[in-house]
Amino acid sequence: MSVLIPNSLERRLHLGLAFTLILLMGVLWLFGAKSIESLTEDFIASRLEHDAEALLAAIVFKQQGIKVRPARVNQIYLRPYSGHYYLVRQRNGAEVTSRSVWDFKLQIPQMKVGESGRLHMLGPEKQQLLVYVSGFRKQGQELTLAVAENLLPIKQQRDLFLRNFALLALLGLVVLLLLQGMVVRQAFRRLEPLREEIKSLAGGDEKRLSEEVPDEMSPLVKEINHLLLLLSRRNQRSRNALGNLAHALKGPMNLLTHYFDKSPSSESRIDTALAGQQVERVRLLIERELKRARLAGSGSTSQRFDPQLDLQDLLDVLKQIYREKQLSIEAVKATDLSPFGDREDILELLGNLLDNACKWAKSRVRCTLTGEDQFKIIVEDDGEGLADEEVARMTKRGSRLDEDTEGQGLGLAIVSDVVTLYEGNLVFDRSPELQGLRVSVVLNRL
Amino acid sequence: MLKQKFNIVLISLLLIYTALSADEGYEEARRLSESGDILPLEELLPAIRKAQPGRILELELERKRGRYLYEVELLDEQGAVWEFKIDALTGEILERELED
Repeated sequence: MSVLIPNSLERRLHLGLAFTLILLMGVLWLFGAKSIESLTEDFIASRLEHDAEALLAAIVFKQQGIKVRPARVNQIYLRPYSGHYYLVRQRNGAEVTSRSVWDFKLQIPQMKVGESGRLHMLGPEKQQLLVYVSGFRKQGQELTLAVAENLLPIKQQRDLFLRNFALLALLGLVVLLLLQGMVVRQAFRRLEPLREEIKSLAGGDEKRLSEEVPDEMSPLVKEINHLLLLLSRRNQRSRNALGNLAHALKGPMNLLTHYFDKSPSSESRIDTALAGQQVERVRLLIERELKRARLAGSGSTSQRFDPQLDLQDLLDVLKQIYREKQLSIEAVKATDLSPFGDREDILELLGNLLDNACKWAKSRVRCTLTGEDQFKIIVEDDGEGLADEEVARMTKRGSRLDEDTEGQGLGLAIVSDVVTLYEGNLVFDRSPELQGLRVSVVLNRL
Repeated sequence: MLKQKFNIVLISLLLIYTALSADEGYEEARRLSESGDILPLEELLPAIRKAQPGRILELELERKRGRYLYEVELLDEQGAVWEFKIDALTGEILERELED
């Protein structure tokens, strides 16, 4: 960027203001100087005119020529080189000057009667004279009268004034630039919160920028917000797609895992075992991806869990898996339960809890769904249950089984994640009726 | 009484005369500078101004023993009045004193 078009807004404003002010002050100064000059000159000229008339009145005609009665003219015309002079010239060229002229020669042009004019000329000792010359007729005699005044003292005063004015203007300019700098910085300070917001946007704390910004910034902020919305939608869509794919794969993978787990050992061959291991790995990868997708955001909201339809499907799958155990799986649900949460989340939660219950149950599993604002799930079985200290450990806040122990133990990592996602809570205790483990989950509507 | 009146008239006439003669002096100076008997005032002043800056208060042309002298009164910046006597033909400063 060149000096005249700097990149800094503040400097650009400064330049603009400085340029305008200098122009304005310059014009003002020139105008002022001209005005004062013509005003003072007019003023002095009109005084000279009056003095010329007084002089005309003071002129008397004598035998030897004309005389000026000294009592009728100002004392200032008597003091040598005082700066005030007059000259009277007759038609025949005879001249009378004021005493102040002393022996200096004033070159005054001849004027006709009724003619008058203003002249500038140098006087004694380089004085700058303004001369008023006029032609008169008195007692039949034609006279040229010139009255002059030295402009130097007034010019000096004027120059002093103009210099002071220029200095004052310069000072004003500096003060204005400083003030403007302060105002600009103050204005830019208002952008600081915006910067902070964008920073926290990067940190993921904010979803959009506040539009409480100066009008000039408003379009920019709106554009950014629009872009953020687009990005978050796009992000959401790809996350959902990934989540949906993982979900879709999960069912078949589970079945495959069970297939390999339950394969009779006689048929087991080395490649079956290898295939089983690979399937298990894929299942874990999917598990992890699902978890990540769920944790990353609110997840897919396209489909809700409908207790009337989805629960039965889930139970059918479980009965199929555990058909050898001849379990009685009982579902108790309120008839007016409305669809709740994300279908995949809830299926996962319920699937895990029920799978767990089926695994440990001797003969009975019961699943109870209730709730209006909150969604309550209770899964009970008639298995061994947990010892009191184990219950205490698992209920303790923050104690979670993480991904590494997935598939072993109770496999409650996913359950815990979903509960966290829905800001709910999870309680383990002993079922009063079935004597096995009872897991109670309360989920909040998002 | 009559004598007193006469005196007053005499004094006032004298005053008028001196005033007139002081006023008329410049015309003689003009004639003399034109004929070259004295230097023009403008040429004499720089020497005086050099010796003592100030404004001219009063100026008189005198004739003493065939020489033309200017008697100049100057007012300086401090408000003091200086008196100079200067040879009107050569510009030589003959006398310089602070007036009492």
